[in-house]
Amino acid sequence: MDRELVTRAQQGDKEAFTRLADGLTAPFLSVAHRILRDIDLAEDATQSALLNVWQRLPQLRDPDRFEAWSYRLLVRACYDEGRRASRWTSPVRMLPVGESWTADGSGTVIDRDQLERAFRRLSAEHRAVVVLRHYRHLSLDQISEALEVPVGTVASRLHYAVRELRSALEADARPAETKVVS
Amino acid sequence: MSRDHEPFTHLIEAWLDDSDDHEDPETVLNRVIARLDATPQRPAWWPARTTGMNNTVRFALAAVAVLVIAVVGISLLVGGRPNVGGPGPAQPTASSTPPPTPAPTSTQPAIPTAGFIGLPPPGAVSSTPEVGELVDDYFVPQAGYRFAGYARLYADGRLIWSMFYPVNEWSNSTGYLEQRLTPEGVDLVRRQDPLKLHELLPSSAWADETIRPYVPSRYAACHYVRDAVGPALTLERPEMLSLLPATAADLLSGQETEPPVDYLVPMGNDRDVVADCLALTTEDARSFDEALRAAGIEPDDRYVFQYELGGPGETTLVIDLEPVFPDGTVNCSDCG
Repeated sequence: MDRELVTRAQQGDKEAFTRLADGLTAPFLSVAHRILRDIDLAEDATQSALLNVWQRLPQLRDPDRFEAWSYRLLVRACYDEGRRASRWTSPVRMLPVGESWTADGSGTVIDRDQLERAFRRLSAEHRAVVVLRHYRHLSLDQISEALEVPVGTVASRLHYAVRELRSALEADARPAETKVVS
Repeated sequence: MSRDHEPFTHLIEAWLDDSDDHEDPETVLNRVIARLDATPQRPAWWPARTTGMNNTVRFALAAVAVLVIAVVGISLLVGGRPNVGGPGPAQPTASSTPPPTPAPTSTQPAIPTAGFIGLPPPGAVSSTPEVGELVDDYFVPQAGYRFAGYARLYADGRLIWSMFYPVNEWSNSTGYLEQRLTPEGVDLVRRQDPLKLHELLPSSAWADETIRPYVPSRYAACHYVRDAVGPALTLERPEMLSLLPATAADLLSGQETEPPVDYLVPMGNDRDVVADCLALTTEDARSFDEALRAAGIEPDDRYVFQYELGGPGETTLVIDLEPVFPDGTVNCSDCG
């Protein structure tokens, strides 16, 4: 991230912010889409996060931390959109699902619908950690900074989320039982 | 950047990489740019944080700041302005006037006694407006401890917070408390200890500094099962309801989930549990409490109204009755 652009945008330079936003919008939208599983919500969350970045930039104390700080605002916007959608709207539009899907050449066939359903059962906090780790490939330290939670909490959420996804896929093949959360 | 190489995480990565249909960043960017003019930036609180200042300017600003703080401090000591203590639980209304209470010392602020745990006293007026935009929420560190309480800051000026005390024992909670800031005050709050804000903020930051109990409009009944180690699982709702006295089960049956996201009960490592929460009006929450008490189930009210009932096998069904905050979320009040 260009430190000078961040500094200029902090001082109210809209052109500098526009250039920053130009570089942020696509990755923000991709991350939000994966957390929220709905493109309309993801667009709203991305827009809200970027406007929040603009509004709060003067309060950012260390421009070198811009990226982690901006992701924090994005994830919060995703939480807000997710809550709003769950409370006020009809069920969100699903991503394309249904076809069987072979991943990584291992020969394991996973139904994308199963993974989609399992992922949707995770909390937004857990989804965010999974997406930042396994889509953005951030380190646990970077996720910790972005989400402002201890590294141990990041590791715990990640462990829990992956285990839940795995369990859900396995459980789909078995008769329904009482859902064990942990 | 780093990657895991466990096969299952490869599957997750491949699935995440594969779902990028319909994304149109240009449209979003254009919408953002179109709204920039109508979106003013929030000013930085501390000018020295911005760039471009040399050390002389920084020192001059620091000296001015020290002088201002000293003058404000002296004027406050003379005026006895702080309202820590507030009204007792029987008068938690937004319009009540602050009682005359002594100023706390700067080294050891008084623990507010205005709050309550669980249900409000009869007749208490709910905090308004019912819905508010969350600006920030944070853990409050204190005296070398990472965590001593929670605070939630709202765009309408409400600062809602609670503290554990004594801080190194976590024996008690103040309950959720509320103060009102001006828009300037909202901008000035920087995740500080609420007990110290009186010293840190100018009087113009406060719309009403009186510490009052936060009276929610709604409650959430959050349930999970605890085993010998800690929180262990969340029961499906029908099974949970079957463990309740019939009157209490009837009250919860058919209630909406609240909050939709989660109520995380952290125990560290892989023991975190996402509880299931059901929304209740204050009136229904009171009836729920009465139904459980009638069955001999009394709440523990040190941190949150927490009921314990027999769960499956050797486990305990835990139900926390938590306030719902203006942004529609619920906090785990006894999680630290």
